[in-house]
Amino acid sequence: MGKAMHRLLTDSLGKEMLLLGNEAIARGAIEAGIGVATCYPGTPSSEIPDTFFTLYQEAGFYFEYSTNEKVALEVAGGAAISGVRSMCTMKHVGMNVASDALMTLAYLGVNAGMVIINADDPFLFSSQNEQDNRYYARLSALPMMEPTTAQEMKDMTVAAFDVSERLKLPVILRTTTRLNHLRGTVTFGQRRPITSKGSFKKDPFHYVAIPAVSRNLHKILAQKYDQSLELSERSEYNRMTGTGKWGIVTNGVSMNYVQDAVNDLGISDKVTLLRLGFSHPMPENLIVKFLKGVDGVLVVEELEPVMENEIRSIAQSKGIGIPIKGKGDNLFPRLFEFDPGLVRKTIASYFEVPDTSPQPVEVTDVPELPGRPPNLCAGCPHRAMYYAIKKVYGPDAIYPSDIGCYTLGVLPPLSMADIVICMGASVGSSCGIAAATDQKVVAFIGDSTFFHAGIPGLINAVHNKHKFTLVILDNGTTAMTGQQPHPGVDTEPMGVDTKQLSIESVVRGIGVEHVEVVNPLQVKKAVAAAQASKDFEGISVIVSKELCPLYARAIKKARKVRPFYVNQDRCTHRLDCINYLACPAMYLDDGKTMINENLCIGCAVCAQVCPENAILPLKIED
Amino acid sequence: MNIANIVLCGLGGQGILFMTRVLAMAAMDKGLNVMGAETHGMAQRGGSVISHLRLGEVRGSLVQTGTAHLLLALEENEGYRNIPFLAKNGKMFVNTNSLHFPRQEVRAFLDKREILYRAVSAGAIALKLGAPRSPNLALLGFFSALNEEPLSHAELRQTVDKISPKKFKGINLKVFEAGYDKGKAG
Repeated sequence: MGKAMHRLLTDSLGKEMLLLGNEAIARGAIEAGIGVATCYPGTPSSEIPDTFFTLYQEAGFYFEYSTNEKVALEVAGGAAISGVRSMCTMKHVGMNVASDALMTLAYLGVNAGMVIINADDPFLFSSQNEQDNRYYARLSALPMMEPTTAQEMKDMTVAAFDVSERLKLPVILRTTTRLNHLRGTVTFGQRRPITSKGSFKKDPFHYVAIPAVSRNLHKILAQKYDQSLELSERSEYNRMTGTGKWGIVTNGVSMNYVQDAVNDLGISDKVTLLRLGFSHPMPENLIVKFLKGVDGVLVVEELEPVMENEIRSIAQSKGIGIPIKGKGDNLFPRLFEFDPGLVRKTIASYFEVPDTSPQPVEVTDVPELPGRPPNLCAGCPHRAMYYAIKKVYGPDAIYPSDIGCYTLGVLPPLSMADIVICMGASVGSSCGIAAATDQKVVAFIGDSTFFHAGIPGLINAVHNKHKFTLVILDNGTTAMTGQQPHPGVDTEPMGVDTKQLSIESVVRGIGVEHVEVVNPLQVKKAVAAAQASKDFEGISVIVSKELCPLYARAIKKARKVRPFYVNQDRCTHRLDCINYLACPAMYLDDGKTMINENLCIGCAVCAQVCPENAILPLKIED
Repeated sequence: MNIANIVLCGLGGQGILFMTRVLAMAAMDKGLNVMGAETHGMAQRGGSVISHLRLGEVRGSLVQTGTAHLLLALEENEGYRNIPFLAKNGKMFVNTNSLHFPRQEVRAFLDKREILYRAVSAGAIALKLGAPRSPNLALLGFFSALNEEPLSHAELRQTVDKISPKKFKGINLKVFEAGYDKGKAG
């Protein structure tokens, strides 16, 4: 009868598994005896909470998808202050949202281990910027650790909990996309028992951050910083290897590229490698020892010259004058992720050794292909709503958008995103554009994003009487990051007891007077709702409500698929379907409009758009 | 030092990650060190997806251009896009219906670098067996006919059997074997 145990919950010490980096972190949290886990999902961190979601009930800890990263951090902080080990996961830009809580939580400290997973995204695989969050460790004075392999992602998670408990401070574990999404072998360790209940011990003159208390707390934080510096000096993750005169300092994923390069170039006897895994505070004494043993230093780190600048400052204070290079001088770029070939080439040229390993291939005789960016899926309700809005408002209205699948509407022929800044900014920026121009403004925001950061913007719009239309694209899930639930989702089918909130009630509660809920797949009704919003003077909201088809399939609520076809006798090749909808299930074959019946999910939007009624459902045999 | 560099590519939703897992698990079961780099997130909406897999004594998970021994492409143009990864004498297996594979524009490049290329209608094989979303297994089966260490047909088949969810095990093996038969037939 009993279901098989989740593979990540096994007690068998020494078990080897092939894991995604994010799964390794989740296993680390389980080994550390985590009691509370919180998150807001976001690439590249999402598979950590998604893994928790599959096993937390069986493991016996508390887990939630929180409303946003700030709330997630506060929940985890409250738990850790109450003596329960907690983890909070987010992507790098989520840390911006959480940072208000982070700065003062560092003052308060914790009573049980607390680890914050911060996933940076060099090269912006799936983000709006590529900020380097190592600066958050400097800003908050919190310890930061940076793993290098799948094994370390697990081991270092456990170690981060230990550091946190030693210092009574949250510890930030920083990863980058290439680490979160690497796949490698992980050997399991001992599991500590899970304790999910603690007790909050009153101590207002420590936990109530009023100025008189915080002045003292800041002193305590400074002392803890000194203690974490000592731990960093002794950490097994801060290690010098080799005795050569050529110094290389590296961290995170770059460490792998450096090791491959040093092997490929055959220079391991000439190099001293300093790897900084406990990367904040930087181990000053170890760095001085390293600097004194080498003739020159190359710092290999992605994004900002964080280690480089600090090492140079340490060298200066000790009167060490050897060259220390990294960014600049045409060595390493500050932008994007590293390419292993670039790391090897730069090491070779900096230390003046011949690079005999494979050189980039001459590809001038291979034609360049156009890029193939991601696309709204066939049958995506966002496409239908975009059609309705554009039909009424035309191409000249301003369309602020937000963070989610619907941002993909930026591409022609939809061209339905004019400005995107960050989570929730569609609403706030619309207030500004509407106030500063006489242009029509229609903003788009997803359901999860609305709960995350859209509500304060809407309150602002209502209170300050801004005039625009907000379309809330409610597809019943957090689609882009992998179909996580949010406060508007009924989680009962998932076996999770939460309260489902109604977006419409929230909007009405805020005081929006013109609110319409439509199913965007009903094209006429959607167009009518768009028209009514245009005719209304003031702030109006359209809730565009239809399940994400991928999610509907996942929860077995998808309609029976009845794909459509183009009746070639009726089609007059006006191409409205192709030009206005750009559905990936439609294509042109020798001038004829065709529908790929394997991709078509039968949403029927194209059939409603076709002026010739030439798009019809396929008759299903049997 | 024996290293295998593999690049898998195609479009989001075609099952590249599953294909990667089969190869990775098969290698791991042989005791090989496995390093993979996958694409997750935004790219899974029909956009280009690429997965790197390195087997043997390596640290970095990214395959450098000109060093891949094997390129598995679930879509023809994505295959062309990733040709620069292939090493001299590398091998390329592509899912395509085209009778004109490889296109004239890339043939010279492939020949110059002595790259072995083979095409299979993996999508058609899968569709015929009633599994339109499983061209990945057909392509993998087709490749397995090469029967090369460290990833022989028997080892890959065993891994497909091991990691397929119960519900799909039967059909997955059927599609895999159909691809294999096609590969063996030449």
